[in-house]
Amino acid sequence: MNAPAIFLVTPGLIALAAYGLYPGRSRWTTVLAVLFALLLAFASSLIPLGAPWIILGHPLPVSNTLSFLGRSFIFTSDVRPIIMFLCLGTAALLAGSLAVSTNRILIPVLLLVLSLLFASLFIQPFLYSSFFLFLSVVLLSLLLSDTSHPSPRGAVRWISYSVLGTLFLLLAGSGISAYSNLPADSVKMEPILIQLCLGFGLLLSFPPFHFWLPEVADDSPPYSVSLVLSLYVGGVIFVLLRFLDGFAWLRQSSAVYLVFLLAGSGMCVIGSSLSLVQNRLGRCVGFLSLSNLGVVFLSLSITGPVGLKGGMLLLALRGLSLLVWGVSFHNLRPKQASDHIADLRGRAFSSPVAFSAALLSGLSLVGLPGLFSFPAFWTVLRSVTDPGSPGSPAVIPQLAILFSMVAGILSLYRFARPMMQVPLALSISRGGGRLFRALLLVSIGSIFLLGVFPQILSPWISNAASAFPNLLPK
Amino acid sequence: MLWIILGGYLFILTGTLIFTVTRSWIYALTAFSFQTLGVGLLALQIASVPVAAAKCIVGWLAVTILAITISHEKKEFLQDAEGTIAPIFRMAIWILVFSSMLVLFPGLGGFFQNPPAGILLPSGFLLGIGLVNLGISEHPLRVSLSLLSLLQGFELSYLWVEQSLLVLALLAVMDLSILVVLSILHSYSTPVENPGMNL
Repeated sequence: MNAPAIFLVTPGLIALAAYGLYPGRSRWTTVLAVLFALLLAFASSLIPLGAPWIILGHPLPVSNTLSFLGRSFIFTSDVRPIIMFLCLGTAALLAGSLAVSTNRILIPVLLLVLSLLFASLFIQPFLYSSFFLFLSVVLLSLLLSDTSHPSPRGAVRWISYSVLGTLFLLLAGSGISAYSNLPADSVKMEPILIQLCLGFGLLLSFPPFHFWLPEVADDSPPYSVSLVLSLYVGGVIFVLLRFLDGFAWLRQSSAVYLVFLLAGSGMCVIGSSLSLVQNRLGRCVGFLSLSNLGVVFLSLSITGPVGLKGGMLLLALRGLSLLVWGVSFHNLRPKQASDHIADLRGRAFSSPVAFSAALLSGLSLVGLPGLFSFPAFWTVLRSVTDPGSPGSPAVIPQLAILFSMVAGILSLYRFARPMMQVPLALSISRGGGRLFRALLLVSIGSIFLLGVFPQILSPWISNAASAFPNLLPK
Repeated sequence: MLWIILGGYLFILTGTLIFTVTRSWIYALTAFSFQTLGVGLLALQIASVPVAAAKCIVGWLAVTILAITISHEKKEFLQDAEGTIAPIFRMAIWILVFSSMLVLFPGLGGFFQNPPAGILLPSGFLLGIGLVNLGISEHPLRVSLSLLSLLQGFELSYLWVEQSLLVLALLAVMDLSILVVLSILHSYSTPVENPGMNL
């Protein structure tokens, strides 16, 4: 049995089956896809390496390498936590799709993207991972436009930025392979660092490369936007951390952590400032997610386990917040309806559950105290230090986090206020079905519960940091 | 070999000029075919015939996919109505990019581990003109051709760095996937003309 093939090929086969099964049996197909993602997560922890797998008393030899066109895909025990993380995240996103009306390609696309993200983690040499990230962009772009959201502007911009990012990463990769034994702070390292910054900056929407983000948030189905901002962004961050983990000269350079600190602070300030001046809810949450990503990078700028574990936790909670937001916003913004601040008047009365869930997920995204992202925000706020003088707190990033929290709350308040005004004709909607309301009520409960008792989930999620052993001190 | 290189340059320069200036899809696709042939001919300097042929085939496949997509459109779509100033402006941009690249291209060598000048100049030019075309149009199909120009420029120099089969295959997949996806996205924005493109 070939371990990488299980993770690379089976999602493709299930995707094909899901595409065929979906018409007429959409709910069952989704449930089967969720179960498959959970099964993959389970398999990733079970598959033995270096020893046969005993199934029903029969030993089954397991190979951890798949060769394809002269290159290798290698499954190592290090990547198990990331695979579990991605599989569980995909299972949650697939389950969330039960509560929104989606088109036939959502499940196949999600499963294929999962397979591509695995490929980006398995491929050796590692520089080729950018190809797989790009292919996942291309696939996810298919979800950003449909007959209800015909404008392809956001997707077109996203693809364009991603092409440029991929090219920079390929260039950096070829530079890395040419200078494989560089000492830290070498002069030759500078162009490679710049290429890596540009590459990941373009893929992750670092300002000033964030122009695709508002367009995507504006023109696309909300649930698809939440998929892009959670699953894809998570996948890119894992690849970035694998780069750091794999190259000693890169992770030992203080410049890398300084870049994380500056990028994180910049994203916090720019994302939250821009969210304050938006008149459309989709765009506002898009910018809040940018600000949230800034906090993730500030966490990663903290060397050692605190920063890495905090980063994993923030990534997971960001995904959950965006998932809840995607489902609830889908209900608040019916097809082809405007999400302009003036057109949302009274929505809190017509869709109270969706409104509450959307508001709480937005507030969780900005780290409001009492909600589930706050403990991780608080850890970053306390631990972020100046890379130039370890031990001393970095004041500007701390102020950036506080600013992002305050600005985020204010920007959401701007939208919540007209939504809570009593409309002239009051009609309470029970749209979305029982499953939809049950899912949102469970989400609302979880947002509060995990905010008060973060210890329920955080040790499990933080365990994903063990996928990067070189970044954790021995 | 000299004639092949000169032919390659001629095809690339003519192809990019027509593609940049014209807004007629028929001319643009023909120009892109010539540009692709030019890339294939220039690639022969550093790559084997099958690799160069593969580059041409991918480019021509892209043209075919675009031609099929455009064949579903109304006649008005094939030619944008515009005044005389816009094409002159775009021609000026083309001249600007070409003259800039003549001066700047030696500095690009470091990015690609110093390929020969015969590769670096057309590569830099395609990258530049691809970027410029990307900036002056938001139409999905035109963006797809601009991205392909950009990628052809990159791939030409990247051949000097890496010629493994997997990379060549992945770059080809990248080229074609951009085109297919942008064609599908374009079909959503004009659903009446493309009733068949529903996933």
